[in-house]
Amino acid sequence: MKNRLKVLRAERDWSQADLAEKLQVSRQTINALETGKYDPSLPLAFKIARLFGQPIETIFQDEA
Amino acid sequence: MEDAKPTWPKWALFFVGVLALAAVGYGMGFVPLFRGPLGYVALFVWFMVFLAYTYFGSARLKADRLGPIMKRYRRRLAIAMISYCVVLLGSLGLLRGGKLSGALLWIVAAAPAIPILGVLVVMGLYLKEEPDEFERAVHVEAMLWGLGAVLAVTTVWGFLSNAGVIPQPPLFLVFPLFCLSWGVSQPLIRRRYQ
Repeated sequence: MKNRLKVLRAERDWSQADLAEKLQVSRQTINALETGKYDPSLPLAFKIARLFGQPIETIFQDEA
Repeated sequence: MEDAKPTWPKWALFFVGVLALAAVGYGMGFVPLFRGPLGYVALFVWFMVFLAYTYFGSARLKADRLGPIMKRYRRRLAIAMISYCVVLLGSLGLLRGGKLSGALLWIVAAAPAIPILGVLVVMGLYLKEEPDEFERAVHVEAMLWGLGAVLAVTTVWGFLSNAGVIPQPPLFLVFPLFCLSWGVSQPLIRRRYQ
């Protein structure tokens, strides 16, 4: 699933490691999320949305 | 990938070391000096060196992604493996004495399996405690690959031995085979997500 995580992260000048720490996941997880190869569970998606202060659907784009 | 450095040459070097140490352990079986009681001491020392090498070697290679849960898992695993080595050597020693019979024989013979069952519990605890869903997903998938490898190998082996082409499969090796294919499949699974 495509997402704007990388852009949102860059806007805040956070590294992958910074974002990983804020979400309490590994840096590998952030990488897998950003490349769109791993889709987060609903709880993690909500956590991400809360962190960036944006609704889920503006961060993750459903291609269907 | 951000700040990605090729780690596979280091991993390759690490596994060469693992194989070399395993070869030393295997070779010790052919040294007449180690046939007697000294052999038990030598095997124990060898196992501790082997465990220390794999434990600290992999910790160095994984330094950036060893969370507290992973560290706890690895500590528990190390404890289980040390107990396995002690119980296995003790059990072998008693069995070789050949004086056991009845219930005691059963208990002593099955004893080395207990720490191995402990390893299963440790694995289950890790999956339960790991807060990172992606890490959990990678481990579960790797376990499925390990299970698949075990089923494939033992099925083929089973039919071959039914026909008398090869001997019966050594069942105690099923678990190491699972662990090996589990471990090998992990980096391959992770590569897909990079």
